[in-house]
Amino acid sequence: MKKLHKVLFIAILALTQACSDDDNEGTNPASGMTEVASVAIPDSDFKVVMYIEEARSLEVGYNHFSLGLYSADGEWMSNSHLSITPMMEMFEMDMMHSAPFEATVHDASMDMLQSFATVFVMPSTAGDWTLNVSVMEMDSEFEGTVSLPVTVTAPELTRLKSVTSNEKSYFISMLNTQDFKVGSNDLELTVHMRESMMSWPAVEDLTIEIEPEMPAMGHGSPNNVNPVHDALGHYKGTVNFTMTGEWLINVTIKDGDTVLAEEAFEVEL
Amino acid sequence: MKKSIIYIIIAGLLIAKAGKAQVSYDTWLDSIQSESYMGTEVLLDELELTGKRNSGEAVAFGFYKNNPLNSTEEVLSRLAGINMIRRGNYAWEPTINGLSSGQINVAIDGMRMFGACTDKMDPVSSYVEPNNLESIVIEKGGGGSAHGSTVGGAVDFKLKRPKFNSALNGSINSRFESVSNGFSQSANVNYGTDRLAIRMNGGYRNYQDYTNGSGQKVYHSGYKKLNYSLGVAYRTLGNNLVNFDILLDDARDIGYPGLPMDVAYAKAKIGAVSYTIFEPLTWIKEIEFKGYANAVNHLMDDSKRMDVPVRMDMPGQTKTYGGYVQTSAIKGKHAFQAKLDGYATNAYAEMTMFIPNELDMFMLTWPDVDRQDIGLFFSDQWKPLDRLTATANLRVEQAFTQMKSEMGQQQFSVFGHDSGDFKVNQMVMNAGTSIDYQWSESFSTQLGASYGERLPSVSEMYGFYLYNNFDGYDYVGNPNIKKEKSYQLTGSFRYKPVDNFEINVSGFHYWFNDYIIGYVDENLDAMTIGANGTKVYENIDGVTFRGFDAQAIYSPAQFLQVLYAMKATYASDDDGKPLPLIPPLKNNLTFVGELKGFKIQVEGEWSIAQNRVSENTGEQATSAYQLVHIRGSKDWSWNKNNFDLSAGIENLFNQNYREHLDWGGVLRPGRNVYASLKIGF
Repeated sequence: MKKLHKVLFIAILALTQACSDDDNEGTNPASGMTEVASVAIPDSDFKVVMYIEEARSLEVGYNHFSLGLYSADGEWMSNSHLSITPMMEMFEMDMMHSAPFEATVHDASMDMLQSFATVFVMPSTAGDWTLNVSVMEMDSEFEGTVSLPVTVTAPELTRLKSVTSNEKSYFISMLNTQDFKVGSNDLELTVHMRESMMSWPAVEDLTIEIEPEMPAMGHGSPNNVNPVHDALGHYKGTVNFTMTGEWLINVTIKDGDTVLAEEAFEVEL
Repeated sequence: MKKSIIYIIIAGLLIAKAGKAQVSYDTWLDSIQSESYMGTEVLLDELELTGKRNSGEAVAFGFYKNNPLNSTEEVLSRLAGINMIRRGNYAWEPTINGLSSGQINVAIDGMRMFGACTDKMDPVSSYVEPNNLESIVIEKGGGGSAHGSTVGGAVDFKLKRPKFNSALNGSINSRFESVSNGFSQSANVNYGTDRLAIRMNGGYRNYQDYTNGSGQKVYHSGYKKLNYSLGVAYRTLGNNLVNFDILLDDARDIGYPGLPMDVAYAKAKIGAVSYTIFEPLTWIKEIEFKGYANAVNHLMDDSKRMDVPVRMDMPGQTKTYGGYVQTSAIKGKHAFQAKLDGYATNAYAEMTMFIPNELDMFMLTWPDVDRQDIGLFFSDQWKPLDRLTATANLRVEQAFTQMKSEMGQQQFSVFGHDSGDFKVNQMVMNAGTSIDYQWSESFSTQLGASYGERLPSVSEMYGFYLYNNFDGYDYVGNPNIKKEKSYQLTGSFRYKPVDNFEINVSGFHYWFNDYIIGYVDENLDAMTIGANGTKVYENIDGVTFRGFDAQAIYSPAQFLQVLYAMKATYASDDDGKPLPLIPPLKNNLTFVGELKGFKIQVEGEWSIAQNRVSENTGEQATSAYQLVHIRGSKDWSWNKNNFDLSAGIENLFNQNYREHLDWGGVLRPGRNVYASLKIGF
């Protein structure tokens, strides 16, 4: 009996696999995402294309995006590896700085684009953002670099707070606030520190307390779970909302007993 | 036809008699028959009580119904064991022996119906008008009820039936009262042939804000209400009966001085069709099939209030469909009643708060909650001896309750509830037994023991931050709440040593397990601005209710009657602490004199103070009060028309008072002069 189940399971798996293979044939692994930048790599037949989730844009704060290496005629080069360094050249100041970023190692067998994240710390109105992308194409053993200009806007409700404590600057981002709805929500924050203009490491050993509040009504919500560190400066918890409207999420960040930041994120439901 | 007329006459005699003597076998048989439609139809022209469990109440009721034009609520509030919760001048909510709301069932002609207000501003009793009622059936306790599982009892409002074989007739009724500048108008028309009868009824009331005993206007206490109904009865060739009823009630701009909000509108639509077969077998008296539907729409808002921190709209609605088959039969010395009933109801309510230039704040307060319910009721009245009647009742009910709204489910996820909590199956059972024994011509007793269970209400399961202005707390439902259970003992005696004097005394003691009550949850913020906190419904054991009521009637002369009635309830939680909303000892002493068609009535009404208050609900004590009312009426005929003129003064000495069940410390009306005229044609 057990064996039969197994056989059935495999058969079904094969069937669905076959179907999905059919669906995917010749399609872009970026389907369902929006292209935001595309730049040809000089002296090559390749271009780098940047995608973000549909109906989103690059905004100040934490942003997920995907990068893919394509041939000039649009074929995805799956056997490739990309790495990034975000850079900002600030207007009216002869100054360049980077930003916190995350990258995954590309697994070509996954049939997916390589995904990245950057905490853009300022909007493009304050300077020009570029992503410096280094490219390796394994099949042709091609190596090169390219600069992708990107536009970063300031969202209506800020999702990034920066504070300075003990002469160090911390950058706190709240993720996926657009997805918040009435009820119980996963809450995710990232905390990074600016060590130098080029080094923005994640800060991993902080204590974070949250307290949602509806200022117009003077009440909060019950059973919130304070975010705790998961990995790479990401802290995960739970935030609850009991109704639609304008909420504040008060965030207190402590390093040991030292309060690094007390900030409030505005959220609209 | 002849047979039905005989029924009517017999029933008429018997009902008139039922109050006077403990029933013998014959009258017992006939009293069972009198419950059939045919029996009660012509007889009960004015409000009448069917006192199933205590004939003494019938006496009191019959007495009060002769009061010129008391409202349904005023009549109810004088009955043994009944007290009314009052949040304004409109829509008082009945309590039976201190139990209310979800603990009792309120039905209209056996139809289940549910108020659409999350703050209980619209008890079902608010959707019927007294001039449209034939009788009110009151059952106390949880010992098995035809009207649904309950721990407290049931109130069934029976609608007036059209009369067969009746020439076109009707009446017009106008009433004015000074305290609120209130006018009410009602009219009805009846026409019946041998087979078909039609009755139409309409009423309109317009009451302004009333003035209390210290001369201050009680703002937000007025209301307007329109009520109309149509009843059609058709007798088939086989002498079976088809009944059709439509009832529409539309109340607007109802003020609630005891609450921070008013009601923009409260509307009910009720429709029913029934088919009754008489004597399909000689021992089966009748079988009735009935189907019904009703819908209630209710909108609470605060647009008429100054100085509110946020503007709020709270619309709510309920829809209920149901049906039943019921039959009564007599076999030997047993009278059986059986009923299979079912209903499906849906409750939906939401709240939106508005702040200029900000996003609207929205939540579901009753998140689209469905309940399907099916019940089976069986009762046997056994009369082995002329002086002994034993009764046994049993009811079993199965209910499925489900929260359908996804947003509602998400709202409840903040309390850690998950999908398993949003579909709940419950079975409830009620059983009761009682013994009546006639010790002598003048003395009889009744003893009863019962067990009752009831389903939690929608608010108790899935209400979301419902503000209760009585204690100033927001209430959150508990999907895991258990059914409430009660063990009950009741006893009564009746003593009638002489023809013109009679006394009835009854007492009860109820023990509750899993009593449903809101307890403060310190982890939960109040949602409502200014509220004291949030309570969540929980089950507690060891709650007791006990109380008694007594009535004495004395007729010293043909033209004079005296009624004295008192009632008291005492309720404690497991720590012996008082429960909230329990009325103190209350008394009524009424003299009625009648001479040459001129009736005069002097009523004294007084209540002791209620200092036994529930501290943890912030309940306030209520002072004692004494009131005197004087009423008079005269009827005469002129030119084939009947006239009935009544006038009186309520609260003669303009006392400044409130009753303990009145919300928000709002004082009751001061001196009120009223007059009414009824013209029948």
